[in-house]
Formats: sequence, C-alpha cells, structure tokens
Amino acid sequence: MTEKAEHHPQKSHWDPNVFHVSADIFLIFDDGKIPAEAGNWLGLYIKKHIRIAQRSQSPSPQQLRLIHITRKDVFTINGRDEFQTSAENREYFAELDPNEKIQLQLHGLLPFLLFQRQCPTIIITGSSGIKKLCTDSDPNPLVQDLIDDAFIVFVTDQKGMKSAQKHQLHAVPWQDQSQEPVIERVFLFEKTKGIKGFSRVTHEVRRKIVSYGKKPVTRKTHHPVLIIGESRTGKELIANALYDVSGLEKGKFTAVACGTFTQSLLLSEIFGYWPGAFTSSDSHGGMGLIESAGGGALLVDDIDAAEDPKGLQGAFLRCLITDPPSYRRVGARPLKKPISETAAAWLIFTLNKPIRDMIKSGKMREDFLFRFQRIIQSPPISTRPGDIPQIAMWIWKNSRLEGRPLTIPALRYLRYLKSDWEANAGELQALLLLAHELLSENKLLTWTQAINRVMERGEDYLAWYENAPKGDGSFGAETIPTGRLLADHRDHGEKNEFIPCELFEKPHELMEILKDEIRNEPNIEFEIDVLKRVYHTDSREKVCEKEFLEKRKSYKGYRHWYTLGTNYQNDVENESGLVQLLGEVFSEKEFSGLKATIGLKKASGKIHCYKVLLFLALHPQNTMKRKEMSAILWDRKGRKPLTSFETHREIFMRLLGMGTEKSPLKKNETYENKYLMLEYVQNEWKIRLKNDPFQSPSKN
Amino acid sequence: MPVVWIVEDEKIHRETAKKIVARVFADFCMELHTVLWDGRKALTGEQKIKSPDMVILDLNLSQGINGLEALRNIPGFDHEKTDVLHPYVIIWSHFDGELELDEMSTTQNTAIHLNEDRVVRTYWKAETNLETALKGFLSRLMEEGVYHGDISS
Repeated sequence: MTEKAEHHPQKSHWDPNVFHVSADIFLIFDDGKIPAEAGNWLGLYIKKHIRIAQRSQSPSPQQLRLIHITRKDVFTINGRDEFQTSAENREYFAELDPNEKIQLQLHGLLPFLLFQRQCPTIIITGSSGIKKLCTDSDPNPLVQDLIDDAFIVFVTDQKGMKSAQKHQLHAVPWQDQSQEPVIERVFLFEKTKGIKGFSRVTHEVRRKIVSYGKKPVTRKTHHPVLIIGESRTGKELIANALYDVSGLEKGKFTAVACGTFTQSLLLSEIFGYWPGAFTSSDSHGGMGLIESAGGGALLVDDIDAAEDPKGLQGAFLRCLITDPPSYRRVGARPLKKPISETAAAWLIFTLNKPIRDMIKSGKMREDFLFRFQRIIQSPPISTRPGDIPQIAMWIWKNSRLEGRPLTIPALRYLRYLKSDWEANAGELQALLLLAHELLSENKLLTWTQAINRVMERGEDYLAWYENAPKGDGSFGAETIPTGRLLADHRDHGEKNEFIPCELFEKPHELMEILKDEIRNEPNIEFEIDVLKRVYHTDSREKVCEKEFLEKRKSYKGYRHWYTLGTNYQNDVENESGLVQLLGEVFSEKEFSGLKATIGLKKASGKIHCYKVLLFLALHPQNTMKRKEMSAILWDRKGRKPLTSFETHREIFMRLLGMGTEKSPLKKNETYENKYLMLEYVQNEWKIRLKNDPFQSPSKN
Repeated sequence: MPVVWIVEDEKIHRETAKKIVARVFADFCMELHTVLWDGRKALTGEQKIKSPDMVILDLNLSQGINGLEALRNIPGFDHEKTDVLHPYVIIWSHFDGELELDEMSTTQNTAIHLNEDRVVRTYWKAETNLETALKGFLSRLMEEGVYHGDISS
C-alpha cells in the first residue's frame, strides 16, 4: 500500500465531504440470506473493482456502497469484513448517508433509484425481487424510467433473467464471472462523472466522450470536436469531460468565450500578435491562447456569439486541417520569424444555435462545419427528463445554499413537471433558487409545495420573476391548502379586472357562491362529486371516498384526468371514449351544442378540444393544473395556440352563453362550468391577447 | 406510523391537542400513535419505546418545569451522541412573558437544542394555529422523514 500511495500522492488530499461513490450495490433478499452464487459474484466484483480503482489516476478512492434490503430493514453491509478484502481497502467502502437512508425507507427503492441516487447501481436479486420492483409500481411511469435508465444493472439467477427480459431491463446472470458489461458501465460513468444524468441519451453522450477522448495513434493531436447544444445544456461540462478522459497534461485546459471580445481582440487573444499589431500592443508581441494551451486543450466557446462568426470560422479553417494546428499571429510578421506556427493544442468548439439557422442567416461557413469529423450533440433537458433529478441535485449542491436537502417527492415532481424547459438547466436553477427562497421564509412548506408555488406564478419561467412577491408578506406567510390557493389568489384585488360579460345569471353572485363552497370544502367534495359522475357512483359513501383517495395518491395532478378516455391506440376510439365521459360531465344539451361547434374538426383536433373541456370541467379550482393545461393549449415556441383559436373561442362563448341566442346552458344548472370558463378566459386569454378576450386575434 | 408526543400539563389542553392531531392526521389519511404526557410523571414502559416524530410542547409546565427540560426525558434522544432534537416541535403555549423562539436558542439549556428548521411557535393556545402548524409539519414529515440521531455528524 505504501508503494501505491507513492503512485497516488494526491490521495492524501481526498476530501471526505465530496461524493466519491462509484457504484451502489443493492442486495434485495427478503429473508436476509444471500445465495452463495450471488455472494461469489459480489466477492469477485469487489476484488475487480478495487484492482481497477487502485490502477486509476483518480485522486479519491472509487468507493462502493453495499446496501442490503430485507423485508424488515435497510442496512449497509461491511464489505471489507464480509468479503475479506485486506484492511487497507477500507477506503473503498462507504456507508449510506443518514438522509439518503431516511428517503429510501420513506419513499421506497424504485423512487430512490430514479430520483435520488447519484451513481450507477447494481441490483443483486432473485426473480421475486425484480418482479416486486416492477409490478409494485405498474403501470406507474416509474417502470418506464427504470427501463430508460442506462446505469441500473440487475444481477440475477436464470429465472430472474427471464423476468428482466420480460420487463426489458438490463440484466446479467450471476453465473457470469467475466462481469465485463457491469464493470464497463460503472467505469464509463466514473470517467465521465462531470456529465449529469443516467438516461440512455446521456449514456450515448458519455460513450462519445470516451471515444473522442482517445488520441488516434496516427495523429499528433486529438481530432477537433464540435459540441452543439442550446444554452445551459452542459456543453462546457462535455468539453471538460473530454479533457478529463483525454489524459492530456493537467491544468492545461483553456477556455475563451467568443462573445466577450471584439473580433480583432478575440483573434489576437486566440492566435497571439506580433509587436506593433495594434496601439498599446506589447513590444515583444503576445502569445495566443492556442499557443499557451499547447499540450492541453483550447475550448472556443459559443462561436456563434462572436462579433463576426464567419470571420472567426475562416480564421480557424487552416487550424482544423493541420495536425498539430498551424496558425498565424495577428499583425505584420517581423523578419526571421516563421510564417506560421504550430501548437499541439486540442481544439474544441461549442455552438449554441442550430446549424441550419446559422447557415441560413449567413453566420456559418459550411466548409468550417465539414472540417469536423467529431460532433457531439448536447441534448436539451426536454429530451431527457429522466436526468432532471440528478441535474437538480447537482445544481442544488453547487449553489452552496444552506437549507434542507432536496427530497424524493420534490425531485419526482420536477421529473414529471410538464414544462418544455426552454432555458434548460438555467430554468431549473431559477426554479430551485426561488423555491429555496420561499422555504427559507416558511418552515411549514415542503420542497414540493415551494416548487409548486413558484410554478403558480406562471407557466413561463420569466413569469416567476415578473410575478415575484412584492414584499407585502402576501407570499409564503402561511401554509395554504392547495384547494384554497385559487380562492385566495382571486381575493387579491383582482375583482376590478373582471371583464364585464352580459350574462343573464349575475356571474359575480355565482362566483361568490362557488368561492364559499371551495373555501368550506377545499377539495374533497367537488372531486368526489366528479368521481361519482365519472365512475357512475351514486352515493357519497366510503367506497367513493376510498377510490378518490387512491386516485389522489397515484396521480396528484391532472395526468389521470388527461388520460381518461384516451387509452386506446387509435383516435376514433379515443374520441368515442372522451365523448362518453363528456356526456357524463356536461348536460346533454350542453354537450350537443359543443359537438356541433367542433364537429367539423378532424378526430385528433376534436380529441384535443374534448380533453380541454373535460379538464376544465373537472378542475375549476386548481390553478396549477390549469396552467399545465394551458401549456398544452398554447405552443410557446410557435407563439400560437396548438388548436384553432376560433375553436376555443367558440367553445367558451357557447359555454358562457354568449354569441348565440339559444344558449346551451340552463339557468342555475352548470354555473361552475361557466365560472371556470370565465376564469380561464380572464386569466389566460386576456393575458395573451392583452385585449378583449372575445376579440378575434386578427383584429389585434 | 408517526408518533406524536403531546407534552402538556393541563388535561383539557392535552385532550384538545389530541383531538386536533387526530383530525389533521385523518385529513391526511394517516394513522398515528399519540403519546400524552404531563412532563412530570415517570414514563411508562409503553411511552419509553415511542420515539417522537413530532412533539407538541407546552413551555411552562406545572411546578415550574420548563418544557425544554422535560424533552430531555423523552425516548429516542441520545444525549451522548447529539444535543440536537430532530423531531418537529410545535411550541403550543400562551404568550405570557415567555421567551421568543430566537431568544430560546441562546438561553435554553445547552444540553438540548431544538433543530431550528423544525420548530415553530404558536401563541394563545390557538387551535387554528396548532392546526396550521400541524398540517405544515405533517407534510414535511411525509416528505422528509425524521432521523433520530445527529444528521450533521
């Protein structure tokens, strides 16, 4: 060990507070007895792991955590004693953090694996363990996430292999003594630790990083790499990971952000300059970043942000085809100086605009693009929602704020949040920091509630700042049950903003009645009522309540409602399912009017309209759900409604009893529907049109 | 199943608190164990095995006993390992010259400290305040859980 310590002097600087675990190994055996074959596999794996870890250049020990889950308990196994590794190997084993243990016990293994874990996982279990993990949650979307996770490997018996195959899980038999697939995955993750996420999409990026990080034997420097991706998708993390796996000299990673310099200054910064190149230039000339990065890597960040992107690309053309890159300094070359110089720097570029847009707008040279053989796409968060929990945990740790650690329900909430994550990690960061602010003001809030409250401010992340509390204590002062949120929201002097509508039923009076109803019974009465109608239950007996509570546990959002009636494979059946449900929620007369309004649409268009109606009818009092729904209604990127504005307008007008002499609504019969439509029109359409919501968009 | 301790010397308040706790837990569809204690009598065998997840605490107990002092006797609090009590604490008391929450942290007995992030104080023995605090902390309990030990270590 002394010898090894000499090889790795950095190990003495190991910080015990930093997460160094390479893999979690879960042993799931209800009776607590580990079968001999499983024990052998594990013993062999531990030895191999330690051997590889000792050979690696990592300054910190690459630890393992062995966690045994039985029917009664969760506990950490002492790997050193159990598997008789030598005493010096103590540093290769870690224990489960107490907070992690609580979360694991409280929320279960599968949520822990998908939302809280930070490293690859090996699950050693029999077929019963796999079945339990999958069927307990079925048809929960968690199982789909488990399938999509590239860093959970099951090690199991023959029966378990069949079970894993059935559930499309990645599994190896415990008779397999080579263990290559498992080790390869664990150390692939270890090598690209800077990249966050376990999804298959991210796995592909990791593989590319490791592949591109190897220098071809025929070249003196690495192939130049172009990383393309939207802002805050982790392009720089990819560049750093490339550098880490490349084995290039440490401390030789240089980055230059193209947007921060004028064009001429940028060129002299990158390539250096000769004396007298510009006023106040150094009399000896200046070395460029490309030269100083010799032996390392130069990251040219955001080439599209340069003053003259095309000019900058032109300046790099020659560098990209020569090996090592050759370049010329800026300014007039003094006599006896070489025409061009070379620097053994690995060139990495990032681009945050789509290539096609760049070429169309004349900001990208195609010949520049063609010089890259190695291109990595940094996927936006919206394409890998499974990575959101890990990214959120990373953001939270890096923000170095004091407070409660993120919980599994909060991470789960973020994972399934219906958002297009326009600003990627920036949006996630803003959401977490604003939620943290609320938490620090109010001890009675949970993480989930705080995030929910930030989302209440608007569906668009910019609205979080626009609608930030104004310091009057109206926000975060007390815990408000979800059902009261809308009622309170309405009380904040918003009555003046009501749009005068000539409804023959005095809508304001009706609203007051409804407000009182919601205040008295925040959620349950209304939802039971809805369930009754949807499930043909005739009384408010316990059966109904139980069903409601079960549903509430499982969906906690609009998803359940949104999937109602649309479980079929084709539009026609889905449409008829929805029609059936709508027939139960709306009166016959109302619904025939609605059908007439949207009857000419295609099946898919009709389905969308029906879903909107069903949703709005079922959730008048929950702003959160309405916002999620409006995100479905409104295409933010395209700045247009996803379905015809006219269609929605017609539906609303009919429901409000406007624009038609024969209103489909009966007096005092469905005021709650009218109420919610009015609310919807006021809050959503008025904001968007900044005008009369009943005015056609063409008039704006 | 969460365990809620109600440390209160007056029987009528104990019973009121118990009813409120039962109602709030029923709203959350959760079963619970309630342990009632006047802060003075010796703990029974059953009480000794119920480590609290949440404590409703009266600060001024009879015979001049301080509620915080009384907390030292409740189970699940290992003095040798930690001086921080991690369960959620709702201080449910009258406001008659008692210390404010921030003052308590400096003047309370150094042998026991409440986790500042998990303690709230209500005034005038108001039932609505207790209910609000219970709802908030119960949500947190369901999401965060309680570790009966020293997390900071």
